Amino acid sequence: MQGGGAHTGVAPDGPAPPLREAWRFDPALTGRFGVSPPVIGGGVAVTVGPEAVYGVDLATGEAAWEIPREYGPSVTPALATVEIGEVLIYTEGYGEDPPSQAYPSASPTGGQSAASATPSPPPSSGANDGDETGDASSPGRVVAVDLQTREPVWDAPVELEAVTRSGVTVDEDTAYVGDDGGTVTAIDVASGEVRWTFDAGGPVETPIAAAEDTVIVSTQSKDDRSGTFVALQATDGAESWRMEEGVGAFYTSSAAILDGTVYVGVLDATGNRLVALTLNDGAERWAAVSVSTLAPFGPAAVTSEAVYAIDLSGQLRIISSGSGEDLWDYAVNMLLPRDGALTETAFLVPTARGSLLAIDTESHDLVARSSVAGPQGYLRALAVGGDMVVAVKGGHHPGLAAFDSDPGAPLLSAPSPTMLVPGEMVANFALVAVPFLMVLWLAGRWLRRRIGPAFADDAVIVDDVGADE
Amino acid sequence: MSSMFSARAAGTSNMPRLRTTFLRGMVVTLSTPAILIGVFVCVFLVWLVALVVGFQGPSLFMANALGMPPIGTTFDLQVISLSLRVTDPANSLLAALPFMVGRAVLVGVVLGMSVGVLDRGRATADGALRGLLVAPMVLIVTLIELGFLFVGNIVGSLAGAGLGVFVQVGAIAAGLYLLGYAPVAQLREGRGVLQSLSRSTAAARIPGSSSLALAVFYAVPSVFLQFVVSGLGVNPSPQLWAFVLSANILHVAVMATYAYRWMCVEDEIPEPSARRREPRR
Repeated sequence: MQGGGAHTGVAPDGPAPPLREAWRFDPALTGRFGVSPPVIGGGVAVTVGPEAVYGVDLATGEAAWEIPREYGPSVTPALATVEIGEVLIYTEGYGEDPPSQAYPSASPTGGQSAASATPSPPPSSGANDGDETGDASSPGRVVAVDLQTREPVWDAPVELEAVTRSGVTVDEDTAYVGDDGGTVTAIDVASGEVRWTFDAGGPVETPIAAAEDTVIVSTQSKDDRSGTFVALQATDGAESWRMEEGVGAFYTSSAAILDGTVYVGVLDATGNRLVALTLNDGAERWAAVSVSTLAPFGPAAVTSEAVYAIDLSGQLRIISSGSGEDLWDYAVNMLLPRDGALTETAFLVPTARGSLLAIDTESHDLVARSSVAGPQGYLRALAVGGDMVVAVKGGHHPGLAAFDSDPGAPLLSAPSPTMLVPGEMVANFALVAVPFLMVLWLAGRWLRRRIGPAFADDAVIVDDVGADE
Repeated sequence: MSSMFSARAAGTSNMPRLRTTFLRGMVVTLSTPAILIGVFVCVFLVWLVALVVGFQGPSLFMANALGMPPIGTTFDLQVISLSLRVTDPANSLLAALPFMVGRAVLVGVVLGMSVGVLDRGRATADGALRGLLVAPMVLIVTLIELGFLFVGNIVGSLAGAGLGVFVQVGAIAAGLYLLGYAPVAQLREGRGVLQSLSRSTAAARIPGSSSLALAVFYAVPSVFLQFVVSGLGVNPSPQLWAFVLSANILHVAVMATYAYRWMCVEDEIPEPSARRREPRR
C-alpha cells in the first residue's frame, strides 16, 4: 500500500499519461463490502474481498486464483520476499459478532437474500482448513501463503486478540498488524513467529507505517481517550515517543516516513492539519493547516522535495517537505479519497465519481482524465506495477480497475481553477457587468417613474399604513 | 428578554408594508447610477482584494460580499479563514478587522447616499460624506453583532449540527432586527452611540413594522450561501458573476430599505426618557 512500509506513495515506473482502462475485475460481490486496496507482485494484483482473496492476472484482468477466507474486513494484504519466494500475508475474521454483508436498507424480500441479511460468520475453508485455521472464535488472525502455490507458509496463522482493520504492513523481514483492541503485533515474515506485541492504547484502524527502524502507529479516539501517534522501535517494540499532549485528536491518518521525518494528518480541536514530525523524537517540524473540517488531509505521496496532500473536499495541495509552505495546488472540485500515486511525470488521483486524473508535476495542469466503463462507482487506493495502475472500484459491481498508457490519445492541458487567468476573469466580469448595468439602470428609472418620489407624495406612505397589522 | 423581541403595544404607524419598503430600496439602488455602478465596482474590488490575500474560492461566497453586518462580517471571516488558513477565532477576528472597517465605510456611504436620494431625490457627495461619518457606528454595530454570532455558535454547537444552523440564522436575524437601524438613526439624528442603538431597537419593535420578518428573510438565504464547501476557483464564469452581482444588488437594496424604513417612522419613535415615564401614568 502506498509503495511499501514507508507509505511514500511514489511509483516512478508507473504508466505515463494519457491513460486508458486496461481491464476491470468484477468478483461478483453482492454485499455492501467491496475489495481492499490491491498489492502487485508476481504478475498478479492481489486484493482481499469479504470472503476470499483474489489474484488477478495483471496482463489480462482475469482471475488467476482465489483463496477462500474467513469473513472479515476487506483490508490491504502485503507481499514479502523470503527464502522460498514471495509470500502473501493477509488478515481475516470478524469474531463472534460479524456485521451483516447486506445493505442496511435491504429487506428479506429485496435484492439481498434473507440469509445474507442475518449476521453469521461463514465457515473457513481452503487455505485455512484444518488445524491451521486456528480457533474459529478468534476475532482475527494473520495468514501467510506462498504467492505461487497458495500453500500456507507458517505452521499456523497468528491469532489476534481483536478484529483487525489496519491491513498488513511489511518492512524488511517483519509484518506489522494493528487491531481494534489497540494491540500492535510484529510477526517474523518467514516463520510466523510473533516477535513482539505492544498496546498502543486505542484502536489501530489505519495502516501502520514502518521504515528506518521505526514503526509509526496511529490510534483512533475511543471513550475518553483521543487518537494519537506512537513511534515504536522496530527491533523490540519499545515506545520511542508518543504525540499526545495538546493533540486530543478526533481522527488520525496513516503516516508516511521519509528521510527521518514522519508525515501525518490530524483533525483535532485546534483544527485540521498535515504535520511533519522528526522521526527520532516526534518534535514538530512544521504544520500545514487545512480549513476543511471534513477529515484530515493525510499525505498521499511524499518525496524529499514535496508532500502531496489531498483535502477530502477536492483540493490537491503540494507542500514543501522542508518548510511546510504551499508550493502549488490543483482544485479538482469533487470528492476525493485521500489516495494517490506519484509517477515520474504525474500525480494520479482517483475520484469519488469513478475517474482517474493525472496532474502533471511540471506544468501543474490536468493532463489526463480516464473513466471506467460500465457500472459507476468511486475509485480509490491505487497500486502501481508493471506499467499498470490498479485502483479499487466501488459502487455497484465493486472490484478492481486497471489503467495503462494510451500513447495515441492526446494530452489535456487544463490548469487548476485556482490559477488566475486575468484576461478570462476580467472578460467574464465585463461580459456580465456592462449589459447588466444598462438593463438594471433602465429598470430602475422605469420603476422610479412608476412609483414616484419617496416622500413627496404622502399617499405612497399613507396608502400602506397599517397594512401589515 | 422576551420584551426585547416582542412588539410594543399596538398603535398606528407610518411604516409601509415590507414589500413596499423593499421595492423603494430597490428603486433607490437601481435608479441611482452612483450606487449601481458603485456596487459593480465594489464587488470587483472586493474580489481583487480577496485574491490578493490568497482567496481561492468558492467564488459563490462573493454573493455576500456587500452584505450588511453581520452577514457581510461572516463573509469577511470566511475569506480570511480560507485565504490565510487561520482557524482560531481570535486571530480570525484580528485578521478580518481591516475588512470590517472597509465594510463599515461602505455601509455608511451607501446609507448616506440612500438617505440623500430618498430625501432630495439625488445622491450627492455631501450625502456620501455624511454617511462616511457613521462608519464608526457601523463598526460598533458589527462588533456587537459578532457577539451575537459568538453566542449563536456556542449555543449552536451545543444544539448539534442540525439545530445549530437554525441557531446561527437566529443569531444573525436577531442582530439585524435589533441593531439594523442604528447606523441610519445616527446618520439622521446625530445622536450618540447608546442612544442610536436604543432608537434602533425601538424602531424595530414598532407594531406591524415587520422588522423581524425583514431580518429573517434577509438572513436565511445569506446564511445558507455560507455552507458551500466546494467549487474552488478564481476565474468565475459569467453565470456566477451574474449571480454574485444580483445578490450584491439585493444586499445594497436592503441597506436602502433600512434607510427608507427608518425615515418613514423616525418621527414616531418615542424618546427613551418618554418611554421610561410611560408606566408611571
